[in-house]
Amino acid sequence: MSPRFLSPRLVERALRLGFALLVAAIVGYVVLPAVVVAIASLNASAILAFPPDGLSLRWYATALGYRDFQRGLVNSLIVMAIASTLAVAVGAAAALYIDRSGHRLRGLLEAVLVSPMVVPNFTIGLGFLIFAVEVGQARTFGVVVVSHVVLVLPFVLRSIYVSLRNIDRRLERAAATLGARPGRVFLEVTLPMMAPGIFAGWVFAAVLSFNEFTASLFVTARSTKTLPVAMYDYVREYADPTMAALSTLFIVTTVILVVLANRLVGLDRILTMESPR
Amino acid sequence: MSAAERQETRSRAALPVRLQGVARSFGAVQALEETSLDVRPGEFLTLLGPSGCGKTTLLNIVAGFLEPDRGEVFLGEELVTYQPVHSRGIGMVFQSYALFPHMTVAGNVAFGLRMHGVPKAERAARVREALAAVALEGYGERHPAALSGGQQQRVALARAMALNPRVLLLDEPLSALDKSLRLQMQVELKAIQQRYGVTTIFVTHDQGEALALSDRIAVMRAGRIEQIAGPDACYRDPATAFVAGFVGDANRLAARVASVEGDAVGLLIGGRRLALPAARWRGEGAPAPGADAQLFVRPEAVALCEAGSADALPGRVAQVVFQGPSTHVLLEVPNLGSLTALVPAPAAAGLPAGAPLAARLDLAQASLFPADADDQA
Repeated sequence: MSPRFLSPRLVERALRLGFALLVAAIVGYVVLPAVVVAIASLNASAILAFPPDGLSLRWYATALGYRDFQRGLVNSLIVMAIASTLAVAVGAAAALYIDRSGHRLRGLLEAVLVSPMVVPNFTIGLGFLIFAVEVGQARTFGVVVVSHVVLVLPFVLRSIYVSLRNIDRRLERAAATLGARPGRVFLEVTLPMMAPGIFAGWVFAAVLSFNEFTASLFVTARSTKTLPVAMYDYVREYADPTMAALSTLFIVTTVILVVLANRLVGLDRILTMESPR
Repeated sequence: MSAAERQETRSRAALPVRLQGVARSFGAVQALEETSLDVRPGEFLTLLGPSGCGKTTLLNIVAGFLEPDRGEVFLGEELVTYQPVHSRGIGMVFQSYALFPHMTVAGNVAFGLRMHGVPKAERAARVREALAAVALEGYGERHPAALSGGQQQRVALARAMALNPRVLLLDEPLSALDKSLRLQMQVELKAIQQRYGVTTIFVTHDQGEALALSDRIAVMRAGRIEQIAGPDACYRDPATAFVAGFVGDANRLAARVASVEGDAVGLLIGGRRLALPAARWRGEGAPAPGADAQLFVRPEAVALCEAGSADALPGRVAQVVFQGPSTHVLLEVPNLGSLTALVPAPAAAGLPAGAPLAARLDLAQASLFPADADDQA
């Protein structure tokens, strides 16, 4: 007979408690950096310390007033807007082609488009830097935008491809029987039904582009420096809570964007593949 | 001639549909053998068969979703074999309804009118008219997702009919509905088809639906039309053993031809000798004495009588299935197997299982095929 304190119910309870603690720990570790940074950003003194020795919002004012950050933000927004829009256009075309053509090279095309997910951003940045120097574009927005497009494309492609796979092809057939030419079928039926996927893809691309650092470090010049690169440069020089304040703003902005996007179209719905037709 | 005018001309007279030696294969699979079919103007023709029989392939060729490997398709006098779907002037209803989820009900119904350049004011009137025809007035501003399955199917029908199509194609439109709704929709579908007088091709695997709705049924199997005839003829005079087994219920009994004398074929069934009118033989040439055969007898052509009656097959009651106005009685007949009789309910009242009874077959209503006639799908 097993000792009384090891009754099955007690064991089950202990396991459940242990599991809950584990989940809490994982969640804790995930949000820990953000929380530490957020708290450090409120420090009254000019050192990055945790816990803070007094509360103040002055570092937020410094962060928002710093010229390099202002310029970096503008650059980042320009790159983000152009890169994610281009990525969505390219991604939509590629997704359509992959889904609609019975092409033999379909698998290869898919693999190539998804490859930036396995190639380090570092490598991509270096590659584009060498290439840009070669063609005399090293100091332009062009090379930044192009490298961002390549980096976010797999995610955009995936999002749009899934929304395309979920369209019931009989809808397109029905439109054709009603007199719609192929172009009209696309504009009136296919495209509107792809729209949520395209939007989700754009949001993904925007967030990834806005946060991208590694590749940007290589391909940005003084005049095209994006915000994360400007932040890195700042950290190398100074170690005050300005950095933490800016990081906190960064996180809050991104979270608001993603939550809004989710409210608008339900990202979870778009990112799930329904049962195959 | 504007598109709108063409629509008007279309509605004046129903068109015949003619398929001439149409065939189609997918890879190594011959989905449709060389098939010719004439659908009469205004006719309700059903393509009936099990899945994989080629009925959907045939419908898709008429619609223009598929090109035949050879053969031609005519709508009226017009050759449309290679004409794209959008210019064929067909209306189609799908099993899944295929309503546009991003448009309202009215938007769905107006879609075809919009594609044909019908002016906005006229469009609204015709949408209202089409929705009224399916008893959905006032539903125009709703979205398809807010409607029941039956309502969605009626919207799909209104959408197809709003254009006054030259031909209406129905691809299993009722099979997603539950049974009672399906019966109700059968009635409505037939009424609408008759009101518009549109030539209709209906695809189904449900023989009950086919019998209830069709002017003629083309029974298909393995890429071929086995028989094309009115529901009554398909039921009473099946051309092949497959049709006999697929359309309606039938008892399939093993028999042997014992003799052929004038108008009568002597049959050995379950050890008994019975006479069948020679006209009920549906094989090639004349039946050969000694040949094995299979006899199809409808349950309603089986009468129950007292055990020991002459010309009847003796057996015992295995099961009694009460069905309201009538009752199915399953009889176990030695040396033959089970036999189902459909009798008026009072005649079967109080029959205990195991009771000795005999079955008298009305062979004037039966069909006899050679034993090797292949009746499997």
